[in-house]
Amino acid sequence: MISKKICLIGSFAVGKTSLVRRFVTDGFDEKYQTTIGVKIDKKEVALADQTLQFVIWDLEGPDEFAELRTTYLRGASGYFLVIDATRPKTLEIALSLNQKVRETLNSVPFLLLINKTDLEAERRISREELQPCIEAGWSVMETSAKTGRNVEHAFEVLAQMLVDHAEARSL
Amino acid sequence: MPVAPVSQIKASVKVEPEEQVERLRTLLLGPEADQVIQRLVEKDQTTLVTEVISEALEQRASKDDSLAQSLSSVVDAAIDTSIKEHPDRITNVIFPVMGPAIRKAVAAALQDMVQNLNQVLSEGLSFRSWRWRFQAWRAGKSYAEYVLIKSLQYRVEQVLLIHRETGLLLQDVCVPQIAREDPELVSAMLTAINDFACDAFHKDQQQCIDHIRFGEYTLIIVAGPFAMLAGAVRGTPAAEVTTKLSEIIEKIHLDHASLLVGFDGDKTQLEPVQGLLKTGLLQKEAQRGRSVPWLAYGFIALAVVGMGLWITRTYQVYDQQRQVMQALEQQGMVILDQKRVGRSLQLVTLRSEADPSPQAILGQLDLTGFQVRVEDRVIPVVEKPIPVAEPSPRQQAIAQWQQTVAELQGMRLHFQSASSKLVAEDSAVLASMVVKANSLADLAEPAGVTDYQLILTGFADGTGNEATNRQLSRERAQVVFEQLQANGVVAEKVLLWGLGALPASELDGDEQRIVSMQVLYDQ
Ligand SMILES: Nc1nc2c(ncn2[C@@H]2O[C@H](COP(=O)(O)OP(=O)(O)O)[C@@H](O)[C@H]2O)c(=O)[nH]1
Ligand SMILES: [Mg+2]
Repeated sequence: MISKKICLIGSFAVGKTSLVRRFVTDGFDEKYQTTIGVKIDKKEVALADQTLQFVIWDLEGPDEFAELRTTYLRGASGYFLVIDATRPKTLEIALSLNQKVRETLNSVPFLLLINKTDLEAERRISREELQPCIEAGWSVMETSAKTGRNVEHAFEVLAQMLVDHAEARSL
Repeated sequence: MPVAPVSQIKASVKVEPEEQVERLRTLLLGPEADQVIQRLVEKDQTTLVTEVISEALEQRASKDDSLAQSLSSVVDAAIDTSIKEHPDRITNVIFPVMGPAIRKAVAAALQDMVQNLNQVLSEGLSFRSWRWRFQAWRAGKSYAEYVLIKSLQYRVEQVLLIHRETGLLLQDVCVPQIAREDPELVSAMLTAINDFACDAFHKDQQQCIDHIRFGEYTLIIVAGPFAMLAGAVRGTPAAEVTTKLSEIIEKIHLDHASLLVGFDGDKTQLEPVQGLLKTGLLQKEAQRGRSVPWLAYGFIALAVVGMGLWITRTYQVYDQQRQVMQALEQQGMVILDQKRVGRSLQLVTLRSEADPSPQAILGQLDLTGFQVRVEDRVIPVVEKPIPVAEPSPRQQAIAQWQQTVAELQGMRLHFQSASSKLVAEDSAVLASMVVKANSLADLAEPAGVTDYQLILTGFADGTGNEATNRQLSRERAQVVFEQLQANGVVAEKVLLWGLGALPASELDGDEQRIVSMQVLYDQ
């Protein structure tokens, strides 16, 4: 089985930890995260022809107290960029974070997750606003850690992207 | 007007033969001929140099060291540039070579330390230090070395091989029956902790935490350029653990460098290192448990058992001796002498012929294992009774005196109710009292009584008031006194006493209305 390190990146409280909790049932205690700024879980993702093992690094989002520790990105094969559908500011932050990530990691696959889509009434980020991202070729997916919508699927898509990417590179 | 140089003036006026050849060549070969020829010649020279350079250098080097001198500055500069541009490359290349060299140096330093320690420890004079000294001597080791060996106990329970860049677990081994965290999560977490530490202290990413302690566990981490080994050690790990882990990580880098560099998450390719990792599961047992001094314990146990037996036996002997003495004495036998040596008792007894023999007495006792020898001395039984001495006259007089006193004191004279009249039946008692009281005068001297006094005490019953009762009881004593006096008893010898009614008397009313006599005397 192939193991891959992946990261979750995004502003604080967008739902990164909730997404992982939804996807994975067990893992390290969450108190580690507040200590050193990262929580690690692992989970297998079965694809059509193979199974990948994800070692998931849930990075503490940057806020007024802490910056994103780019050191933790080292060696990641892919990542999720997570935003909160009810806070437009989180999209802004995600874009600048992505810049930083690109500087640290060479081009690796990633997926933009619009989380908290269960909160329809409070949604502040329209699909139009995401148009530039889609046009730039980003993969975008709407999720809800609360209802579980698209959570498992998002991990499967990223897994497939990693496999495709690896194949493309070895050609 | 400017003046031309002399040579130019000359050339313009006269054409030299070389110039003519030059012109002809240009006409025949074209204007670039010169450059072409030049180039051809140059190429030839390079080839020529290439072919001979090695030999030339060798020849020159064998002559003197000027070549080395002139090259050294060039080589120095080249290495400098290379290291500056690719510092990792050089580290990676020399990593497998450096380990052993460093370890050799460290071993030498440790040797020094052990010697110092030896000196320090040699000053300890505790009991344990002497014991260890002795054991070290027996084991043929230096004391310090022995102390280190005794103090360090550990077990490497798990060894993880971790890919440095991704933090992914490459391989792991562990001792059986150990509850362990998921090694894959531990690997990632350890990498994160290391990253965090480097980040927080602005250290170089190639640097690495070398150990983490938590409770009785120590996590020893040795890192190579592409992978690191983490050994979870329970107890106090000795230096040899780090050394072993270093050797393993060097070997892995040497054998699997390309796999480590291009690691894509497929760890099956690294399965062959399992055997090597297992060699890192070192352990050193506590020596104390093994070197139980059975011989010493055996001696102590024997001594204890022996002592117990001795105490029991001694007690038994004393108990038997006590039984013998008791039995003999109970039968009226006199023990004249006794001597006990070990479990044999020698006695000299004395008894009357009529009493049973000591042998007969001892025959009834349980004296297994105890020997008693008796020298039996017998006194013959005398048939005629032992004469009893007649009491002396004085003794008789004393006895008679005592008897009379007792009789007098036992007499009770009863009176009629509310009257000082004696009941009719007691007149005989009164007569007897008179006689006996008179006889005291004659009995006193032979019995050695120097002086005596008769006390008559009158009593009343509980009826009537206290004053009347006291009066009545006094009158009753007076009646008796008068009778004594009238019949010859000296008045001075008698004292009267009226006590009234005795409070809370349990006697019948009749028995309360009395007069009694006490006799006080000096002898
Ligand atoms: N309604 C809703 N709330 C969410 C969702 N995901 C996370 N949350 C809530 O958002 C808050 C922050 O979530 P958390 O996972 O800690 O965010 P993180 O800082 O990105 O790890 C928590 O109160 C979550 O319960 C979601 O999909 N829908
Ligand atoms: Mg979180």
